[in-house]
Amino acid sequence: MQIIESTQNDITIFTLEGRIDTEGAVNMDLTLQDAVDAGKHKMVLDMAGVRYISSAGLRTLADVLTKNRDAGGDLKLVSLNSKVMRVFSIIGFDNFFSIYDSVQDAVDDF
Amino acid sequence: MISLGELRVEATIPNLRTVSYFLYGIGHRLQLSEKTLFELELAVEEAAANIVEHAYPPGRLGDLLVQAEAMDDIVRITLTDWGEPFNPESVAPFDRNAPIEARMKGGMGLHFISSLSDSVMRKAAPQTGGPNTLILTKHVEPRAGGAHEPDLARELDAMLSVSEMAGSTLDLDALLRRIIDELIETIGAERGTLFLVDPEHDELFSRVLLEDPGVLREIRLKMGEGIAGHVAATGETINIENAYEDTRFVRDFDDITGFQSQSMLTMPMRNPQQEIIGVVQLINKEGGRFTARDERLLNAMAAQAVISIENARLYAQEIQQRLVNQELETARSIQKSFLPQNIPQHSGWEIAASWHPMREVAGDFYDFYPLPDGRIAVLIADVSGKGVPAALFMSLTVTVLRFAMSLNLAPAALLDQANRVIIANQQSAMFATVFVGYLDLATGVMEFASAGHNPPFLHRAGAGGCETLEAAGVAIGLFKNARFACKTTTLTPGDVLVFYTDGITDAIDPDDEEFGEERLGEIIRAHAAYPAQKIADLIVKEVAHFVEDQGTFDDETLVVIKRQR
Repeated sequence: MQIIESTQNDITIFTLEGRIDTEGAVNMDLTLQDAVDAGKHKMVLDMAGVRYISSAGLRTLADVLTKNRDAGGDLKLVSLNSKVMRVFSIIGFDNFFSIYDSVQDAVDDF
Repeated sequence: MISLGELRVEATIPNLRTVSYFLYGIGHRLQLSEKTLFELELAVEEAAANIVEHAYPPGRLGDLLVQAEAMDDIVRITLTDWGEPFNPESVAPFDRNAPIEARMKGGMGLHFISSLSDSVMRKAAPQTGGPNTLILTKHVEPRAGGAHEPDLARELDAMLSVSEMAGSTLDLDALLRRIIDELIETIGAERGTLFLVDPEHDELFSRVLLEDPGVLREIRLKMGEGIAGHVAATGETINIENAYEDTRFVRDFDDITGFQSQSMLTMPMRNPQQEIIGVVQLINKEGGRFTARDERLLNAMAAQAVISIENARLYAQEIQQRLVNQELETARSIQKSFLPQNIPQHSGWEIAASWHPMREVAGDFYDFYPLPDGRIAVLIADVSGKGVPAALFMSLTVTVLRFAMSLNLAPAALLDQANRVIIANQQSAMFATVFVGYLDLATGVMEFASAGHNPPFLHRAGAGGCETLEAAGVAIGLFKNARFACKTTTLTPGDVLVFYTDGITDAIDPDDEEFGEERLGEIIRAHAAYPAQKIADLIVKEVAHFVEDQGTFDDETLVVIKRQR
C-alpha cells in the first residue's frame, strides 16, 4: 500500500496504490488520521490504483469522512474500479461519498 | 466434497495475505472467474480478520486453519480457530440505512461475509480451547473458456494486482524459508534444508540454508545421491545418529561450509497424489538424536508444507498465465488503434472491412488513407509471424506506410520507400506483404502496386467474371533492391473489388483441403450483386463453415469495395 500526498490550494490529494486489505488499511489509517489531526479537512482520494478493499479500510474512510464533514471539509473519492465500487454498494457507501471520475473534478467541486 | 487443500498459519495480520494467496491457488484450480474469486477472497478475509482480531487474547498467538473443499459448483471454505468462541449476536447487525458514523464499528465485516457467501454456519466450541468453526459456502461460476474480458482497464488492473502479490512475501523461496524455520524451531534442530525435486533434470535442489554462509546458494543433488537423494529416490525416512558413519552421506557441503553434521532426520515430502515433490532434512537435534516423536511431528508438518508449496507453485503459474494474457490484451488494443476508426463513406461507393485476428493480436492490417490529391489509398497487409512480435512489426510497418502515403508517392514508390526504411530499422528477419491501391472515386481509376501480396479479386459486372490484380513485387523487409511495378485498372459501376489476406485462402478443412482462390472467386461471383458488407460477411461465414470445428489458424482480413451501379 503506497500513498502519495500532494496539495492543491487548501485541498490535500492522496494517491493510493495497492490493496487496502486489513494490513493495507493500517497504513492508510495512519496517514489519513495524521492529516485530519493536522487540520487538513478537505481531502481527495485518488483510488485509481486500488484493486481491493475490505471492511478495515472502509471503516477508516467512514471515520475520516465524518471527521472532515464535521469540520466543514469533505473526503471526495476518485476513480473507483468496478470491484471496489461493488464493495461500496454492498454496504451502501456509494450514497455517502461523493465519487468523481477525475481528481480535477473532485478538486473543483470543493 | 473433495478436499482442495488446507492452510494452517498463525492468526496474524500479515498472514491474512497468505490466506488470500491460498485462495488464489484454489481459484486457479477451480478456474474461478475473477469476480467470484474476488468475492470469495473478500468474504474469507473478513472472516479471517475477525479471528485475528478477536479469537485470541492480546499477547497470545494461536492458529488459524483454512480448509477448502468443492463439489460441483459449490465451494466450501472452513475457518477454524482455537480461541474465544465468537458470538455474532454480540455484534449489532449491519444497517444499510444507518448514518455513516454508525457503520464504523463491527457489523460491516459480517455483512460482507453473509452477502458474499451463499450460506454461513458457525460451530462454537463448548469451552475455550476447543475448535470454533465458520463454514462458508458459495456457488461459483467457472471462468468462461477462453473468453476475454472486454474491459481493458479491468484487465490491466488485475495484472497489477497479481504482480503486486507476486512481489510480496508470497514467492516460493520466502515460503520455503518460512517453512524450514518453523520446522527447525518446533523440532529443535540446529539447521535444516528443504529440497525440491526438479523432475526435468532428475535432481534435487535447494536454495534454503539456515544462516546462509554465503558460499552455498543452491545445492543440487542427483536423485539417489547422498542421503537426501536416497530419500527422494526411495521414499524412505532416514533417521541417523551420526552422518559421518553413513556411507551415503556426502560430506562436501560440510567441507565447504565448515559445518559439522551429526544427527540427521531426512524425510520425503509427498503431495496428495503421493508423488515425492521434495525432501526435508533436519540436522543436529538439540541434545542428541531425533526421536520417533520428531519423525511423526515432521511428517505431519511436512504434509502441510507440501500444500503450501503446491499452492505457491500454482499461484506462480496463475500469475504467469495472467501476465501473458494481459500482455496480449494490451498489445491487441494498441494494435486495434492502428486500424482505421471509420470506413470511408462516399456516394456511389460501398466499402466494407473485416478483421479477425487468430490470436489476441494479429499480423494483418488494412488501412484507408485520404491522399493529398483527393484520391483514397486502400491498403491491406500481412506481416510474417503471429502474436506479439508480428503485432509490433505491424505497428512499425503501418507507421512507415502512412508516412510514405503522406508524401504523395505513387504506389510503387511508396512500397520502395517503405521497404528501405523497414530494412534500415529492423534487425529481425520479419517481412510484410502489402497491396496498395490509390482509387479515384470520381472516375473509378485505381493505380496499384503489390509487395508479394495475394492479388485481389476484381469482379466485372459487365463481363460477369473475376480477374485478379497482379503487379510484380516482393514482400517488404527482405531485399534492399526490391523493385515494384505500378499498374492501373478502372472500376466500372457494379464492379466488386476484394482484397484479402492468405488466412482466407489457406484455411483448411478437416481433410486438409485448402479453401483456395477458386472457392473465394466463386463466392464473389455468386454474390457480386450483394452489398459490399454482405459479401465480406458471407466470405467470413463460408470460411468458418469450411474449416468446421477445427477453427482457423491464421488471421483473416478482408476489404471489399463496390462501385454502385
